[in-house]
Parts: sequence; C-alpha cells; structure tokens
Amino acid sequence: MTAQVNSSSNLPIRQRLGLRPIINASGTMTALGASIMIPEAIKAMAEISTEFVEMDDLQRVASQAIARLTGAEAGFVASSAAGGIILSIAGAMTGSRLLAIERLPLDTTGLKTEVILQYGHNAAYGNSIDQAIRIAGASAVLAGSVSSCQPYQVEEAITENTAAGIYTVAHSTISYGMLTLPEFVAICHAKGVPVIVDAAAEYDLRRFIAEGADIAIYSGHKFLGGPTSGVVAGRKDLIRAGYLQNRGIGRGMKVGKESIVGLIAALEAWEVRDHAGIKAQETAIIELWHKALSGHKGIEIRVSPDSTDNPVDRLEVRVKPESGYTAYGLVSALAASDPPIMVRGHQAEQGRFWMDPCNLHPGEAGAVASRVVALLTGERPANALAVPTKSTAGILKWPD
Amino acid sequence: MSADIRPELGLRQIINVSGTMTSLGASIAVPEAIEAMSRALPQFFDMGALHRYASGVIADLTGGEAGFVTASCASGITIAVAAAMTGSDLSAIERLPDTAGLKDEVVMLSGHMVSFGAPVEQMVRLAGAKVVPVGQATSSHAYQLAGAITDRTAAAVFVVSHHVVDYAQVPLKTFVEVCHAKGVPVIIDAASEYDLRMFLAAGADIAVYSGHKFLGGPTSGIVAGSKDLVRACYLQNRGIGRGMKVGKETIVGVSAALIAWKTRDHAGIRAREKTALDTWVAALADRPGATATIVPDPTNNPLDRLKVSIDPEEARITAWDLAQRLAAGDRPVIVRDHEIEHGHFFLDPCNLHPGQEHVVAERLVEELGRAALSNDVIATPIEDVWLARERGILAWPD
Repeated sequence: MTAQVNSSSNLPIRQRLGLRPIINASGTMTALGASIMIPEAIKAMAEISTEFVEMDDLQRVASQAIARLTGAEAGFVASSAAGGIILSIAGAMTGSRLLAIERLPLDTTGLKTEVILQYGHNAAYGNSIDQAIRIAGASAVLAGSVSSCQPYQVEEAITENTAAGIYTVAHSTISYGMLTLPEFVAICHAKGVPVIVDAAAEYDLRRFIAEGADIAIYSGHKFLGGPTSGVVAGRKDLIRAGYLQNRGIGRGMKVGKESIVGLIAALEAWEVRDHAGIKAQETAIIELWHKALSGHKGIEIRVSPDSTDNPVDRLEVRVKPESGYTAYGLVSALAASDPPIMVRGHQAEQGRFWMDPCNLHPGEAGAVASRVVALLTGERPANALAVPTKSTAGILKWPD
Repeated sequence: MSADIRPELGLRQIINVSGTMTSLGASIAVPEAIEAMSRALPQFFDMGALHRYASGVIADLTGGEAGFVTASCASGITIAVAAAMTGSDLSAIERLPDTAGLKDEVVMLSGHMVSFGAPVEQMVRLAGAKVVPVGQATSSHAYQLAGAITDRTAAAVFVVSHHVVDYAQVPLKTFVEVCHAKGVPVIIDAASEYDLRMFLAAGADIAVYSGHKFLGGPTSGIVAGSKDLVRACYLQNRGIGRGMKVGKETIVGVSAALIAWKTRDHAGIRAREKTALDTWVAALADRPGATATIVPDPTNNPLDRLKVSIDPEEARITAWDLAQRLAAGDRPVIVRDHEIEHGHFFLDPCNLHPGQEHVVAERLVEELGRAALSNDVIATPIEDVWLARERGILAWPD
C-alpha cells in the first residue's frame, strides 16, 4: 500500500487511494462506509469546515432539529449510535452531577449501576450491547433466556440499583419470544426506570418515542444518509445528562462541527425526501434482479420484507447444491469479482443471502444482475462450494 | 469559498483568537480535506482497507511503523491504553473494561493530570486501567517513576500540553529511558503538537495527535507508532473503540490533510500570523491599562501569541470582564482565557480568515475605549464568573 498519493489527481477517490471500487448490495454497513451521503449534508459539511462555531450552541440547534423530527423533547449528536448508547447509559446513571460524570467508569460511587436487557437483545454490532453498558461503568442484568422473556423476568430483575432498561431493535436480535417495546416500557416505567431504545438502523424516527421510550438512538449515517454519527433523542433531563458526558467518558467519542452540521442537513432533507420515489426505484431494482435470477437451477428467490419493519424489501436468494454453489461460495465469488459486489451474507451458513437495493449508484443494479448471472451460467470457481468459517486470521494481520 | 452556513443555523459568527479549541469547532479545515471528504461521502469502501491506506499515510508523516485514525485524540489515548493491555487478544478486547488477567496499571506524572475539557486520566480509566500517579503536582523524579512501575504496569502515558505543570517534571527523554528499561511502552498525548515526528523519534512507542488542530483535518485523532501496538489499537474497533469510530469521510479527510501538510507553506503561514500580532500590538500601544507582549508557545510549537495583561485600575475593567465583552455583540471575538484570573488573556493568530485580524483590533480598541469612560472599575467577582459558567453548562440545551 503506497502512501505516496497525488492529492490533486482527478481520479475517482477510491482509485486515487488504491482501494477497490466496491458495489454495496449489502446494506448500510459500518464496515463498508455506511451510506451514500446526501448532497445537502455534503454541502453543509464543506461550508462549516472553514468556520468556527460555539459547539454548545451548535448542539442546541441539533437538539431542536432532532426534537422536531422525532417528537422528543430534546436531542444531541454523538459520534455513532454505539457512542450514543454508552453516553445515554452514563447519563441515566449520573444525571447532571458533574463530578459523578468525571468519576466514571469504574468509580460509580452513589450511582445506580444495573441496566436491564432482555437476553435476546444482547446483540453484537461490531462490539456488543453488554460491553457498551460496561464501558459506562454499569453492568448488564440479562432478563429471560435467549428464546423467551416473560414480564416477570424483567419486573423482578429491577432493583433500587437499576439505572435503565435497554431495548434493542435490530435484525441481529432474537426475533421472537421477546417483550414488545410497549410491554417493556410499561414494566420499567411502573418502577420509575427509564428506557433507552437502540434503534440504530431504523427508519421510523418517531415510533419508539411515541411508544414511550425515554431515549431513542439512531445512526446518522444509515437511512438518513448523514455523516458518521449518532442521533440521541428523548427526555430533556436525560438528553442533557447524556450530553454532559462530553466532560467525561464522552470526550473521546466527540463529534466535530462538520458531523453535527451534516446531520442537521440530513434531518432537514429527510423531512422533504421523496420517500415514495426512492421506494419505487428500489422496487424496480428488486424486479430487475428477480427477473435476472429467475430460472437458474438450484436458485430460489423471493422478495423479503425487512425484519424490523423498515419500509425496505430485499431479494432473498436461497442457494441449493444443484446450483453448483453454496450460498457462502456465491457470496465469496461476488466479493472477489471486479468490481467487487458485497451482498448481505450474514446468514450464508443457512444457505441464503440477501441483495439490498438501498445503496446503489445508477447503473450498479444492472452490473450486479449481470455478474450474478455470469457466475450462475459460467464455469464454477474453485471455492464455489466453500462453507463459512469464522476466521479472524485476516483481521489479526492488519495493517498488512 | 462556500457560503457561511452559521446565520442559516441561527449561530453567531464568532472570530476565533482562542486557538484550535474543540468547543469552538477546532480549526479551519484545509481545502484538500474538504474536497476529499466530499468525494468520499457518496462512495462505499472496504473500511479495513481504507484504514490500511491511512496507516500508510500516517507512517509516512510520523516515521512510525503504522497508524490508526480514531474519533479524537482523547479516544486515541483510551484506545492506545487498551491496546497496551490487550495486545491482539480478541477475547480480552471484548471483555474490556473488565481487565481480568491483564496488566492494568498505567503510570502518569502527577503534574500531567490535566483537564482538557475532561480529565486526561479519565481517558485512561475508560479503558479499564488504573492510573498510578507519580510524584506530586509540582515535582517528579526518575526514581519515583521507576518505583511506580510494577509487573502489573501496562503502559506509561506522557502528556504534552500547555496545561501540564511546566517545571520540575521528569523530562521525556528520561521518562522513555526509565520505562523502556522496565519494558513498559510509552504513549504520548501530543494532541496539540505541530511536530509529527519528534516524539516517536525520541523513543515513544505511540504518539497520539489531533487531526483537527494544526493539521486542519476533520475532527479525529491520529495514533502513530509501533506496528503491533497500532494493530492492537485497530482491533479495539471490535470492543471499546466501536463507539469512538470514525467514518470513511473522516479517514479520507485526515489522510488528505496529512498529505497536504507535507507541502504546506509553513513560512508563509507564520508570516501572516506575525502580521496579525503586529496589528494587535499597534492597536494596543498607548491604551491605558493594557500591556501587550508577544510570547512563544509554551510547548515549543512554532507559533507566537499576544499576551494582553490588563491593569483594572487603569483600564477601568478586569481582564475577564473585557474578555466577556469581546465575546458579546454582533462581532464576537473569543480570546484564549485559561489563565484569566491572573489578569491576562492571549490572542492566538492561527485561526483567522483574511481580514479578521483587523476586526479583532477594532473590537479591542472599541471595548477598551468604552471601559475607559467608566467611573467605576468594571469588576465582576471572578468566582461569580466561574459559578455562572457552571450554571450555563447545566442549563444545556436551554
């Protein structure tokens, strides 16, 4: 990898940096650079990058924009949804006590330190919810089991030491047997415990607050198409306490003016976005893929709705042995293509993957279709029947 | 130059003579960084590969073996401490801040326990480590450092900042020698330092810089140093580093700022800063009660500031009241006020847009002139100023 790059080159930026021009049919994934940022946000970021601004005031402006979009009392911008979760937990523990904020994480003198979490909601998203809880200095109290959680299991787990309850909305949670958010809220609120909802990849900015969440946390860089950031919305006292963590453990998770301004622009654009038009484009892409992948031996396809009710459909591709591929083999062959095509392969071990239409540039949907068809009609590559492995060898070699 | 977005957001168009302060939006980003960010934002990247690219750029500029981009210098410290504790043990990374089975003590000089908006030692504790202070606030010795190192010591953190106690501390060279003699890696907090090579050249294992201060990159932290430690830093993205993550735009932007740093016209920039200082010295000449002195940067960065000392009897106003008045109105000027109770503030010339040095001069003359007409000395008790500041903090977002 060379660092000697001509910064004035007009080559497309990925080529300029010596990086592969991947096509993202996977989703708004952190590991792929999230989303296609909307032009409004890019413009706003460029504009603020050269100006000074009082950051507390800028976060006040963000608070108002977040409040308007979510229906919450207030909000602030964090470095990421992951950062927002940590700061929200810390805020629920410390309130506005500035010394307690400076003492975190291991010194929790005088603070409530337990956070209730349904077992099936302890998701991994790069790290895990329970680690986010521990970073704030709290400990997770897991309620129920991986496949079911009953009301009494949450209710009786709440003690005088309970600082908050966390509710995770994500495709990576257990999708059945858990309490609904209104049920979880009712139990927690009856005992005076605030509820924090991790809604990182959710589309509906109002629903969780409307259902009683005291805090809801979204990614700024997923559906919103803003810069890498987290949106924290909720009850004013808890939002304030979360924001005040910038004087403590939140300092390292800070966001700059460019991210805050970019996010505000993305929120404003969200209000006037042509949601129906975007959905129609995505539907057309799904139809294109559906047509291209139909009739191939050993390939079963269907349009599948999003698992957490976001208004997004994906194409589910089931790969049978008669196709000459395993799902993992086909996913790998797509990723090894030129240009590389990343599909949603987190369930490849179950013989299926998804193709996501939300993050494509014009023309890429056709390129994806052509490449899949070429792989299904051409000679099978050597690793076509590969089975998934959970190797960490690659990451342990970084940066080599 | 694009339009100023601040009025649109209802925000004041402040002039920054304070410095590259987080609370004011850091620095004026260089055009190369803005352009690169704008071009990266609509594209997807293999983030591991993008981090690898940035590692190459950081290595090139710092002389380190590798580098890593994180959310801020503060998170860089947390992550570097975490890396020194866990190495590449992925399970240990996921267990943090639980440090069972790991070395978990970090030695720091007492005189380095500063607050930069948050306590620097809290950044160490956030990783799960325990801070072992060495010496007293106003003195430390090599033997105290050596004696504080045990078989539980994971790392030593050395802070370079205008906030640290600037006398009677163990110097960097000795600090590194003592730590290395005992096999302890040294992490340098060089958030606001200009020289990207000297700390690693002096033997540090990791040096952490802000990407958004002198470099003029986006808000970020740069971790440079030995490959095994930088790798262990990168791997914290699977653990406590996840909330401190940076996006593609930040990595691309800070890389562009680093590359631009190589060809920056440092002499031309210094000359412009000198012009600003001269303008202010001229404006303050013969002002009753105001004494202007050009002072060098306390940590040897190649920049000078203007120290403005205020005699309240003669000027008819205290330094802090003057600073507050400069910050008010429709041409707000924010001065460097961290030593304000001593009756002086500084004017930093590094973050001005063309022509703003004259606005600063006009505002100084304007506010000093207004105060000079006052019968009573304008003197808010300093403790009231500080308490009001605390109340202000707690009122946010109101």
